[in-house]
Amino acid sequence: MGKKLKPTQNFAEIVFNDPVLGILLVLPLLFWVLATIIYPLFNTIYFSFFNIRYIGVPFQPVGLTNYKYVLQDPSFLLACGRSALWTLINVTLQIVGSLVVALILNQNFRGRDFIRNWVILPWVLPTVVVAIMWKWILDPTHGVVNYLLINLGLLAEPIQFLASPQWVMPTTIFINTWRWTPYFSIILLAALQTIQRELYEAAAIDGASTWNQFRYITLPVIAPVLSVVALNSFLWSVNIFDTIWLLTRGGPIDYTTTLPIYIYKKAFQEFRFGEASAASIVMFLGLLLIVVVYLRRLFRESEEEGL
Amino acid sequence: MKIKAFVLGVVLVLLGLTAWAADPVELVFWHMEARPNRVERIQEVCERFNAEHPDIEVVPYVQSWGEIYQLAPAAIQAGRGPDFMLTTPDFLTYVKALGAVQPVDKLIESLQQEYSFIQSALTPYYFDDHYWAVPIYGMDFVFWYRKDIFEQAGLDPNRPPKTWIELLEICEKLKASGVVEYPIAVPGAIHMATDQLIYTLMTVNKAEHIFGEDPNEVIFDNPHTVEAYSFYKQLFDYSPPGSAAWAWDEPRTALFTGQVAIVMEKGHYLKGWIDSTDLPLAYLGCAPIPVPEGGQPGTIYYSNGLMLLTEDLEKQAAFNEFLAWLFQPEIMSWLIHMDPGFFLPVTKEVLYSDAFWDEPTIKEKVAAVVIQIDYSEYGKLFGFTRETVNPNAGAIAASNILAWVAQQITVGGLPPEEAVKLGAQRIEEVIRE
Amino acid sequence: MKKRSGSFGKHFSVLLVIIVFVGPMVWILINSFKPTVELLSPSPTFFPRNFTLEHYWNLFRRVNFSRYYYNSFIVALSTAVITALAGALAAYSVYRCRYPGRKILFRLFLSSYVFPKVLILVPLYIMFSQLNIIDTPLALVAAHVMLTAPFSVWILRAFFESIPIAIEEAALVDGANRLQIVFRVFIPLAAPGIAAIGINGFLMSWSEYLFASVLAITDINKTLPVGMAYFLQEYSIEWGVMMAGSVLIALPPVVGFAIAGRYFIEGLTAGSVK
Repeated sequence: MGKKLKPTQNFAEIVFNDPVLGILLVLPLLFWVLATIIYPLFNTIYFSFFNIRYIGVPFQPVGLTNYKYVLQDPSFLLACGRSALWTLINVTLQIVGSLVVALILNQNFRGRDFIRNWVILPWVLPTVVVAIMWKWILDPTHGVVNYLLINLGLLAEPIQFLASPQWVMPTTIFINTWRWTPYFSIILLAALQTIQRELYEAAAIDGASTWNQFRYITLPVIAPVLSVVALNSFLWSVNIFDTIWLLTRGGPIDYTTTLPIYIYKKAFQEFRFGEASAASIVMFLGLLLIVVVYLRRLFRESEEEGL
Repeated sequence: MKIKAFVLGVVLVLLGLTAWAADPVELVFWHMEARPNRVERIQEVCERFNAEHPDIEVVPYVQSWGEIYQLAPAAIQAGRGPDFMLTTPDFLTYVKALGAVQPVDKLIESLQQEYSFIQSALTPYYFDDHYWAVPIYGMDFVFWYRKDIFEQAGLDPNRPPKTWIELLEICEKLKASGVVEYPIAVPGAIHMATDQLIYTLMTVNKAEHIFGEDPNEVIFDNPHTVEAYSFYKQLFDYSPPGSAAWAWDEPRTALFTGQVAIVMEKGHYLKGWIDSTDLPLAYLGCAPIPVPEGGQPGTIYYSNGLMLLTEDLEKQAAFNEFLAWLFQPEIMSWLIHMDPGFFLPVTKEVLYSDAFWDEPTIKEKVAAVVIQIDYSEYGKLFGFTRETVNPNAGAIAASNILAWVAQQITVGGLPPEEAVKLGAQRIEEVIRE
Repeated sequence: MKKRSGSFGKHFSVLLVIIVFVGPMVWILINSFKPTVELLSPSPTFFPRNFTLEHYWNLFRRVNFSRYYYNSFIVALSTAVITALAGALAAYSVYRCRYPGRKILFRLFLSSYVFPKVLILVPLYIMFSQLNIIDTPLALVAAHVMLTAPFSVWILRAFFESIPIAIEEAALVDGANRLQIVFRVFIPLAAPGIAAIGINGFLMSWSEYLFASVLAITDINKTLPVGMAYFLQEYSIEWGVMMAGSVLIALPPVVGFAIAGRYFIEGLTAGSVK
């Protein structure tokens, strides 16, 4: 992208110093954010102190009961554990996977730009398509994966990828990682492409090993990008609802009921909106640390640009 | 004479004109029979009523059972709900909690003067001293089996199993015969289909009550329930791999394609068989649900009713008129023939009418229909077996707890005793205030 | 790296990446043309032996697919337009104007992106019920703009920086007023960036499931993801229809991406790599 412009002070004062215009232009989005994010957010806090079963019936204030209930609910604690596991493995796999894919795509080969553009396909596909696709591919009776594994003699019985307690979590994690890895690898690839090829050539002449080239040339350049990827991957993974829901509905039993699924079930299957609100507040508090780190980073970055 | 006829003519024309000039009373009607042929039939029924009653207009909208639990409370509270709608007992408790359901005692009373209801259709709608919906048709579970496969396996196709022990023996024989690899298909997903099979097994094993006389006392955890789940597990082991993820359609396909020889399900298999196989209907056998030793004849019975939501008196009167019209045996038969052999009459008058029996599919499979009707008498529905109903009983169905317990056994590997104990805890949790 | 991995290793690894990430969709596309018998046969074929369009035909005959398609289109298009407009104007405001509170507003937009969205699902549902707009496209558009617009301000940053301020200066000297500068001079210049956030809004809305599943419930108001998800749950064995549906749902994003993907990836990477 173009170079950053440093306007002269005079000009900045003429063109920019216009509060009326500034506020006028920001108003639509500001209104939207206030109405659909900030106000509901405060409502979540408010609702978490009420017993809300049916909308339209007056809400009963119950103090901290919802919080007490949620924090003592074994299902909630299990959901927390599953969310932690889900997020941790997803983030790890996505970082490693996207780095590998980025390195592969960073090689010189014909049609690189074209492939680079299309590798991101999993991320472009709607989640429901992803769910149908993988359900079909992994189906125990008709799926191609089980068919190949059995025909190659690697398996005797088909694997119940989405219906057995041992397999369901690894399978959903794999599918989610599959979906997000290309996205992150494209970002990493862009960073890799800022490294000049001559650096590698010079290092190779000096006899540096491939690992050392990676360690001393590649890694320092992409490290800051990697940390952005890690934070993004964390925040997105922990909030994933649709992929899990469409693949398993949180099952079998509750084996894939992570926090978002727990909250959704509480609200829209059990119709306990108060408890669902309390659970989401607890979840948010748990995420607060990461959120703060992330925001500080974004703010610092924007600070550099005078924002 | 001429003058009389003339006056009559004028009066009729005037009446017609006023009816035409006055806006008809509009009744918005939601139903959840989303399969295309049913949508069409309900539309036709309403249109015929509207044509015969120019002062009333019943406008049907189709919704889906899968989502009505979310939609209805929101819509009703926002004032965008229907004037009346189709319901089942458990869905009724949801809407009733909003204070939106009108008692229909007087309507039931006036209908009873002309028609005699089948008791199990009426019972689940009577609680808290009122009738809350008018049953219009019912459905229950029966034992479907492939006579051709029975014959190939050297079994008497006209002797379906009567007891649980016989059923297991037959499964074993079918399997040993090599005609089918898996003798029976049972659903196992966390889905309504699994709930319904489990509850059917519970009723025949005298575990039909989930609540005690006191609607807050959960008596789900008892030896009868445990036995029912143990038996389910035995059947599950005879069912094809992957059954833990099966809902409605997989067992049906398995039976129709001959992968298995037995499925317990509702009466929609009759029309399903005709629509999706080329095999003769004679291959499809039907029998009552097998009963364990010391058990009782039984099945799950869903009484589908219409509940009235509007507070507008004029609309309520129009609703009464619609129902009085709908209950005429020929009209009612026409409606429930939208899926012949599936929807069962709730009045003796329809049951004994020629209109009901004069339908090709029903004529061909009289026995299957008779079994379903006979057993509807023993039909029960979980949470609605007592005089007082827990106001949150509907949540047991909405959260698919019976199926959830089944998965604890089939997927989680828990012994039935422990799974049922967990189930009782879940039930207490969802029904708590 | 280049030294060790010879030409074979290089091409093999690239091929593997393509198979893993693009292969599944191609598999679905191929399968959507197989008749049910072939689809469910115990030994799968690679290419359809008997090519058929029956599943596509069934999709429109048996499912309310065209209605879902229409709904999705309306909702996604409205989301795209509103996102592009509101996002561009707000971005101009925070990047090009100076006024007190600007920084706070900018941070507000950034932060709104970080909140777990389940957090506002319940209050939004309750609020929309009370406003009587549950189960209308309006509720969906409102939610989808909320999901995509605030962050688009951030995406636009790089695009806006690339437009020299001298152009606005010249317009000002020519006597245009500031509002005219925004609409007649600046927005046309920033059009590629604004298009990118619009497309992003469209894609997001087109695939969004969580909010849509709660806010659009009547069959006639369902969007594609919700309609197909219901189908997946209730008719779980109709694979042919589901795959045909998947292909048609994936089509607009894929076509859109083929047209504008390059811009999109540039915007994406420029925003994150800096």
